Amino acid sequence: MPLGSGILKGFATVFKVGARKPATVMYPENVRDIAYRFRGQVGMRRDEVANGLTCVGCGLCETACPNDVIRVDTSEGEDGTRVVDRYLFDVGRCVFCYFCIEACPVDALQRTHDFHLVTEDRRGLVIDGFKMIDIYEHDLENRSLEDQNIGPGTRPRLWFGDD
Amino acid sequence: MSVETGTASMFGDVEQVSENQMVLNMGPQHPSTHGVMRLLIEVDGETVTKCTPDVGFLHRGVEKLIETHDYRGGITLTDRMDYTAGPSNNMGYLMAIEKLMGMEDEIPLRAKLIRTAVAELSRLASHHIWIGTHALDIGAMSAFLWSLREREKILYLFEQACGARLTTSFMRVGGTGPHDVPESWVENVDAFLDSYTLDELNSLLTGNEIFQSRTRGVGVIPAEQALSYGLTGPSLRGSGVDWDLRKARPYAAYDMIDFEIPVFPEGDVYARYLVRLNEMYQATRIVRQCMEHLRDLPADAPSNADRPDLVPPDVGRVPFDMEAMINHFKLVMHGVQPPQGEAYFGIEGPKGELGYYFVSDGSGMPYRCHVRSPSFVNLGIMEDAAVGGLIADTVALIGSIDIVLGEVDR
Repeated sequence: MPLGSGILKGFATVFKVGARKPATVMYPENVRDIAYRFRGQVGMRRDEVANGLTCVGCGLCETACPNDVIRVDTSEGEDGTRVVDRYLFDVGRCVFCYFCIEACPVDALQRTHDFHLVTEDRRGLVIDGFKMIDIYEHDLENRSLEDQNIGPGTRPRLWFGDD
Repeated sequence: MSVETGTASMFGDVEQVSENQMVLNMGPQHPSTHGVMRLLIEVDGETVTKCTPDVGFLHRGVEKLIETHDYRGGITLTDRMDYTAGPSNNMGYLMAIEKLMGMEDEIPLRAKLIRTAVAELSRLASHHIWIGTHALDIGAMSAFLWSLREREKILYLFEQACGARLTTSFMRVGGTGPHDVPESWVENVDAFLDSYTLDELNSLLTGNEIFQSRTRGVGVIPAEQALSYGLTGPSLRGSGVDWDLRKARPYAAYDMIDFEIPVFPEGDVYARYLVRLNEMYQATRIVRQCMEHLRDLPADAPSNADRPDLVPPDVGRVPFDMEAMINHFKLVMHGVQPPQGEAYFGIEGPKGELGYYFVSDGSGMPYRCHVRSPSFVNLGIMEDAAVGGLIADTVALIGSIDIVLGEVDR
């Protein structure tokens, strides 16, 4: 083979590929497709009856979390049941492994596709359960109807789902 | 005139430099060291007379951290070591635990096939990073952009399967865990394989005279030297040694899949390039066969071992079934508890033999964990292989042994 034919072959490929549409997604204007299982910020389901956290305070998410992200403060209520006083979630430590969601026995914790986690202040990274409800409900608005149909027992795999 | 060596004095004899020699610090912020690695190079003119890798800038104590987590929590740490091939690391970690528990035979076929397919996809993803950065070091810009474009598609497949692109935390002890791939995944992988092409990169680099003159006969590692340094993976097979754990000691579903191990005897940078390029072609073959096997399986084939003491019950049953609830709580609170003993298991990762060694004292946390990371072992060859070459050859050599500093320093 004459010297330089390999380079010319490469040039031919470059021109061929260069004629194609670019693969770049111009991010702030356009967002690429996000798979249904995408693990974003952990959200929480609202308890419609009590209009509060669905969390029952069992503490499984605290145990399952490898990074001490979650803190659940509970106390004993008047009728002897466990009451969740405060649910804190430190987004700055979270690695989005979703072990907490796997662990939650009442499906209080839910998947969201929210990846806009920027805050102006580091203290803003620690969010409480009600903020997590807001994140989850805001995220639900951007989903199709069938994806919203996620409740306890309605599907064999609640939060994993198939897209 | 002696040279002021500054921090280099910790390496002892580096101070004894003659008049014609000088010590060159490459890194820790040099783009071609692929991370935070420092190379202390003694040069005589342009020729390297001694090369000492200085590692540890990215040390996070992953092995010690794994000992402070339960066996499940350690999964999140493993994919942060070799971050170019997260699922592969998850797989090695989990298979070592499964060996510790003596339950390798209980893994269902579906889980094995998914593991194999995902490991090969991560090999593709890792080799894409390698081919891109290696070519970029040598001066080819387009190859980097094109290979990252192809890699994006693979990462999207990971996202569809488990929800994350890099830090996958995929699979659990006993199978795929709750992360059984979605039904549409098999079709998506097939569609990806149909649209995927390596020929562009191939035609850009393989025959290119500039690329060849930068890589042929450069950084030669003879077979005996490669073996004595404990090289594994493509770096070893580029020296003509036919050793691949996928064939030598088949694990997961590799024994039911037809593929070849590319071996090139020259031992130079170009041979290692050819090994990896051919491995990428083989990886697409393996993934395609895995998808065929997956499609042949019945729809209700289990993806987790039938072990209630390891695998959590179906999440949907938990609020309504007391036994399931007890089982679920028990598993989350106490986790997997292997019997006392020790186990080592190595898989053929994208960069070489990726092995995990566990000592268990019977509790829910490993007593000791050690990772045999291929990047760290392979990096040792730098001391010998770089000597006698030019400084620019050192750059090509680093690229060709394919290190990831997250795995070197752990």
